[in-house]
Amino acid sequence: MAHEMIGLGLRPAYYDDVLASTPPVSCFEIHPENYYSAGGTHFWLEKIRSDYPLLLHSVSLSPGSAECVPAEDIARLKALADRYQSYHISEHLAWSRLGQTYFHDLLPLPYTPESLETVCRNIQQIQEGVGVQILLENPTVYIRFQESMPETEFLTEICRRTGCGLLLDINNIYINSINHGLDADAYIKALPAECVGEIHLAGHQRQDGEMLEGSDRRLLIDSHDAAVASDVWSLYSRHIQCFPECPVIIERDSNFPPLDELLAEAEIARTIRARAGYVDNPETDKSRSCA
Amino acid sequence: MTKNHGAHSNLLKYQQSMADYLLYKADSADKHNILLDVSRPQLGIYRNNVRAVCYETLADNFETVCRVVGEDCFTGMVVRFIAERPPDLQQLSLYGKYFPTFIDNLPELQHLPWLADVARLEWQMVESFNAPSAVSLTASQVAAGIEAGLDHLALHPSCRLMSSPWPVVSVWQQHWHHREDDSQVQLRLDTGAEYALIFCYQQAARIRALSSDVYSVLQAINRAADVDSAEAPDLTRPDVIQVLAELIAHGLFIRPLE
Ligand SMILES: [Fe+2]
Repeated sequence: MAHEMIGLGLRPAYYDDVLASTPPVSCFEIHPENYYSAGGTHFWLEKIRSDYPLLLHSVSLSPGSAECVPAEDIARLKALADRYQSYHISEHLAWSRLGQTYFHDLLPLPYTPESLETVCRNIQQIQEGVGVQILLENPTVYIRFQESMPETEFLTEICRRTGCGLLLDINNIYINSINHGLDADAYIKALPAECVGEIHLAGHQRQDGEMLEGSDRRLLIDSHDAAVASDVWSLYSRHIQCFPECPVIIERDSNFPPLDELLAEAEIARTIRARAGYVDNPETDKSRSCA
Repeated sequence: MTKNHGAHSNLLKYQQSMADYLLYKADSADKHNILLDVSRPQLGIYRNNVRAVCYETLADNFETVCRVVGEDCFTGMVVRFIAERPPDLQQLSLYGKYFPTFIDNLPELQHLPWLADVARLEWQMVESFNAPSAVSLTASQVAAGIEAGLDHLALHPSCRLMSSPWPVVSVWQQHWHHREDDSQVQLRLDTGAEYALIFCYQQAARIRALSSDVYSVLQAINRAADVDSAEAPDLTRPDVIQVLAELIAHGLFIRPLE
């Protein structure tokens, strides 16, 4: 029987509740960038780390940048991983930095041979710097490029060339499938399941205003400010057998509900897994290492 | 170290043109025609996202400034600030170091000459919250330090001292006390200069108004290494003793770094 880890994205809004109630989840995922200053939020993180494994979900290394990743940015991540003994690390297939400017948004890149070489070079640099394999997350993308290979092909080739793994964000796949008229199931099947090391589930919003071209649906926005949609749960359920050993993280980045609502979503994930024959135990899972 | 991929790089050209668009320096994101549907409104999602995260961070770090000028004006300030000083750190919550100077130079805010100093006060709170921790001295260790000379004491790394020709502490406090209803705020700006200690206690940045004399004493402690003992301040005055006692209680004295 496979043991699995179901965790939550940890945001400051939940620090006190997590410390007060030690909720029944197996781990928490953080954005390392929120902990790069010396003081501030480390007070809470140190306490939470003593009860839970942490997963590091980086948003600023910008593997899609034409420029190399600054060595000091990688060193900062490595120092945080060492400090918290947390080596389950992920990033996004996107760019978010140009020169000295950090855009703090995940920007799209054309899936060209040049981009492929660039991303592979940057991921190799990151993996060498932090000393572990990283996972790369499939992004939500709102625009399209003239020259671009399928994202699944692009991700598969990155895994093959760099040995990195994949963080499969089911919500992002669903959003892209609606916004660009793609087949979400085919997308998941096209990826190498053995490379997937983590699953993300999150909520989205339907944008008011005009319909999508050639469709009776409205644009979806990857807002992380709502409960996981039922279509996203279904998509996850349909493919759960492909990645039974992966940690599952519920992400919420704004419009924060009471912690209990996120725990209820973790419970849904647990139920879906149980129905598929995978039984989870947060107590035993918590004591395992995430790496 | 940041090395360019080469001038011929299409990826770099696209990223430069997208960056100009995101930072409101250009109206188009695609000078080089690599996007498929550049005219579609979806491109604006990225610009809106960048603006929204910057707005939220600055509104969080400069809550009082935002409430003084109102959300519409603040949005306009943010858009111009992004173009002038885009985020240059990985940690988004540390965005805004140059916002007070930016406010100083905004012609349309010249009628609020004190606003930049309010922003400076709020920025000191951000810095204070993010300062490293340090081992606090006990009351008897501080007493021994005072005995041995001020250069045996230092203020905690979270401490910041600030002075302003404007009553910025009062402005900040008024807004803080009337957080639910700004219409209750009654500003008096003719009360002259104000002095403050900004410090972090129990994981929150705080402000302590100081008299100019006490401010000078704390400055002397801060610079003790440079000050010879002839200039040592009088620590026996009641108002000084009271503030020193508060500092000890809040753990704000440490041993100076070697
Ligand atoms: Fe995600």
